[in-house]
Formats: sequence, C-alpha cells, structure tokens
Amino acid sequence: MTDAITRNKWDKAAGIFDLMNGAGPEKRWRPVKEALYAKMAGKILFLAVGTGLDIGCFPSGKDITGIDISPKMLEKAAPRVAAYDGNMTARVMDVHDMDFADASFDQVFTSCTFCSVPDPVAGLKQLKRVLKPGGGLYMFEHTGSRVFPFSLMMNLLNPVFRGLGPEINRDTVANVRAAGFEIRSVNNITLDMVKTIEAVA
Amino acid sequence: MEKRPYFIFGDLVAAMLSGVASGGLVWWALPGGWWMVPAMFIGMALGMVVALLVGFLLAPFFGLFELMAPAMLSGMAAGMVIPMRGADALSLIQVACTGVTVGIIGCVLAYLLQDRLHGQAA
Repeated sequence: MTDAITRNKWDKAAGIFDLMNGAGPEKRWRPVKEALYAKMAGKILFLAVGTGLDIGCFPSGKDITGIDISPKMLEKAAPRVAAYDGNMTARVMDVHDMDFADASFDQVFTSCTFCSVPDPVAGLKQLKRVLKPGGGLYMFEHTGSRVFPFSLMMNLLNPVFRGLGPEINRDTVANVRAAGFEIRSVNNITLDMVKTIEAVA
Repeated sequence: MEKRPYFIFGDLVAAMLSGVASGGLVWWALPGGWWMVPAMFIGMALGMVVALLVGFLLAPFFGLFELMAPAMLSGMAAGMVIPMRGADALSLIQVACTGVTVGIIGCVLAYLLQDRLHGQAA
C-alpha cells in the first residue's frame, strides 16, 4: 500500500522543488551525475524521478522506467520525460510496494532517493528483488557524515530536515549492505556527505 | 575540490555571511557579563542555526549540502570567538571583521577537508 504521508509530503514540495534544486545543486552535481548515468545499459529502473531534473543528464537512447511516489512530482516531470531522446516512461509507485516482476531490470539508478524512503532497507530489498542476479545498483545520494563536527550538526538538524523532506544523517552505504547488495565502490563527492555508491545484486 | 569560480564564490559568501551574522547575533544577545564558557557553547548553537538559515537562503543558487560545511564551520566558530574576545569590548565593525575573517578561515578549512575526503572511499 502506498505510503500516504510520504506521498503528501512530496506532493507539497513539488511546487518549489525546481526553484530549490534546479539551478545551484543540479549545476553543481551535473558532471558527477553525467559520469554515473553514462554507465546506463540494458533495461533500467530509475528512482525517484521527482520533477525530472536528472533526465537532462541521461545519455540518449536508453530504455528507462522511472518511478516516483508523488503524482504531483510526475506531473511536473511529464514534459521532461516526453522530451527524453530514448524510451522512457514514468509511473507513480512506492519503492516499498513495486508491482514489477522479480528480475525485471538489468540496472537500477537512484538519485537523492534513500534519504527519503521511510524504510530504506526494505526499499533496497525491493530493488534487489526487481534486479536480475548480478545486476548493478548505481546511487547518487546524500548521507550522514562521520566527520566531527558535521556528524553532530547533521544529527541535531535531522528532525528539521525530516519535516521538510529528506533525512540528512542516514548511513546509506550500510543500508545497501544490509539489503544484501555487494558494494563495488563508494566515491565521496562533497566531504563524506554526498557520494556515489555502486553495488551488485 | 571545487574549481568553478561561481561555486567557490558562493561557498565563500555563505561562510562569511554566516560568520558575520552569527558573530553579530552573539554580540547582541550575549553581553560581556556572561561567563565565557557557557557563552561559547550558546554561541556555537546560535551559529549553527544562523548557518542553517544562510544555507537555506543561498541553497537555490549554490546547493545546500556544499554550503553547509563552510557555513556551519564559520557560524559555529564565530559564535565561539566573539565571547572569547569579550563581546563588550568589541564594536559592531570589529565583530563584522571578525566574522569575515572566521568565514574565510572556515571556508579554507572546509576546502582542505574536502580535498582529504574526496574520491574513492571503498
């Protein structure tokens, strides 16, 4: 069953999402995202689509199924999905409760998603289920920090951020391991707070 | 390490703004009669809140996570430094100059830390 609290939170955020993220953060992260998405091959699941800001970083000609829990986000994303130079569809779906068959995808890509999924390990286990054995998980995520004083700050400020949208102190690398993936690489982008993670099912 | 001038400028502005606003707030809110140690801790906490506000203000232009490191370091440090220097003995101009200086140092420290942590972690 779809998590209504999370869906409503992101529906509300859809109106200002591009304003907050469209210029600064996306411009800052674009080279890293382009390098990560250059690894796209085969049948791909992408989450969370949001307003579709990441689509501009996708290589052309790929076969991509995107999901997001928020219908309002996907309404905003629709023109970007339609403009993608390849085969892309976007569906409203909760990662905890995906209706894809087992082993449906060759790769899964995520972008700033597992800061917000209410039960990250359960969500990641679902990704493992829909990935073919040996399929790749490629993540661009912000996580908690292990470096003082940032670790303290992020733990103290997490309740504020949780109310607005994402959590900022999660150990996503540990969550990926806990879901049964084998980590291939972790690459720090901004201190140890923004990183790419590559793993196999 | 960030090499694009636009983002370096944003990080530096966030750090300096955080340093000045945090230092100014502590100077205004904690008169010199306060004991230095509790004043430093309160200053640190105020600095964190100020840095968060500065971060949200500038996030649409430069990205929140990247701004947070220099802004937080500078805000917290300025909140500590002003009580250490004796808030009553400082003019508002001196507080602002201290905030700018702390901001520059905070930004340099954040960049040095970024240089150390950036890249393959596992």
